[in-house]
Amino acid sequence: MRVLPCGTAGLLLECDDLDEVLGLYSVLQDRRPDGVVDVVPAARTVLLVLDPAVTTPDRVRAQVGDLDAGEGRTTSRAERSAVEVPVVYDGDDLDDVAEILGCDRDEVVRRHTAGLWTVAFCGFAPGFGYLAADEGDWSIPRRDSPRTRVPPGSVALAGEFSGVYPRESPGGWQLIGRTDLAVFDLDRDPPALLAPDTRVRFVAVEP
Amino acid sequence: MTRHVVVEDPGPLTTVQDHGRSGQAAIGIGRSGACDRASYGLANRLLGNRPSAVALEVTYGGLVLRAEDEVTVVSTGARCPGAPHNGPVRLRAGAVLRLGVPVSGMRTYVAVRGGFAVDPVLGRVYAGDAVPAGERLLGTSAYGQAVPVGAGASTRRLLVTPEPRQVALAGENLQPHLTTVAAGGTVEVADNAVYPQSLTVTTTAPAGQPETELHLVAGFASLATLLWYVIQLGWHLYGASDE
Repeated sequence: MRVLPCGTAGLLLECDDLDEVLGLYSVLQDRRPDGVVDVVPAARTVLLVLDPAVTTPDRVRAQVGDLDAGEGRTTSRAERSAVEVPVVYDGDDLDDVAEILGCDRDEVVRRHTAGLWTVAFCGFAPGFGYLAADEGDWSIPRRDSPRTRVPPGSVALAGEFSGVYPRESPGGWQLIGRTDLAVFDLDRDPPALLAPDTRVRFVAVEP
Repeated sequence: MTRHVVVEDPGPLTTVQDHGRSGQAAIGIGRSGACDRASYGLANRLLGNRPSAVALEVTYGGLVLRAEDEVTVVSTGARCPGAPHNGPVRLRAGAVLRLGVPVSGMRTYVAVRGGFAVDPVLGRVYAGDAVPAGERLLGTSAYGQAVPVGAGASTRRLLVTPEPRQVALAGENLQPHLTTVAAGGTVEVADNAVYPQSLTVTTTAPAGQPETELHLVAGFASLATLLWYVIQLGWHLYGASDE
């Protein structure tokens, strides 16, 4: 892990892989240094946002240098219960994805629902989680041109990730299904169901 | 005491803002809040408001604000013609504040004593609620006593707010240095009998913590100047003064 400066009130932890990101994120949930107001995971980094009235980048750098991502890793994760996302697999791009994978629609559904997924990080919109699969090599290209409107609850694939659109927005991901589950609700506590390090299972349901 | 103002005209865009919220970035929610945080913070400090008091963020001036009740207002940030800039003024009931277009800068903060009462979302005012013409806003009564800049008495006892702040003071070698005043402590400022044109600043920490006495020299010839300076630095002067 490299610790990089990030402005006057931040530090960027650069990791080797997603596993290390989630390991660090998990450890930092339990042992957050004083004055760190946000811990933001991404594909290969964890951003620490500081409150300059409380601490300094140098002070936090000294505290995170010893962090061991391994402490927060997969063993504890396996014990946690998964959020179930019920999905009607009738997305507009299901056939395209089947063709990309060289199989039929049912097989795409089988693979999507077979194993567990983990929310690696969030971004793009409040409550939008990028889910990484425990097993399988997902590598799905985005649509050639994005849609200007993707319905809320759309279940989608792009690159190595799957995701659920929390609300209507533009989107370039391949839509394979839809869910009624409100993955983001401003009036709920917590507002986001698919927060980083959350385990997820997709379940096929009838419309 | 209720204090209502009416936004007769929001100009091109006026929104309600506070200092936003941290802690939700991991689920894709950014801090939001006032765009020019320094100016927003200054407006609240000048009025003795809480640091998170809700203010209006005015883009490119044009705001027309009518005071239904007597209210103290200030503007900071981009200076608009007609605005009580960097200095609070009291508007009588019925008075109308009209902001022109700023020559430089884009965002002006218009704050009232006590801040505005707006329902919080996610624990904070959700940034970007645009204020339509005719909107009636209510001021809260949550504020401390703003320390008057330029008032007569030479001694002030000031209570530091719950957030630790740093103050620039000159030490023995006459260079400014930073020191932290502990939360809950007090600061006493008096004319310095030994050094002309200087002030003595005595800080008292909460029980159990050491006291410090520092001599402030050069550049702070008057209490008014010192107070303006500490307000600029980010202090919230929020408490009683004894005269």
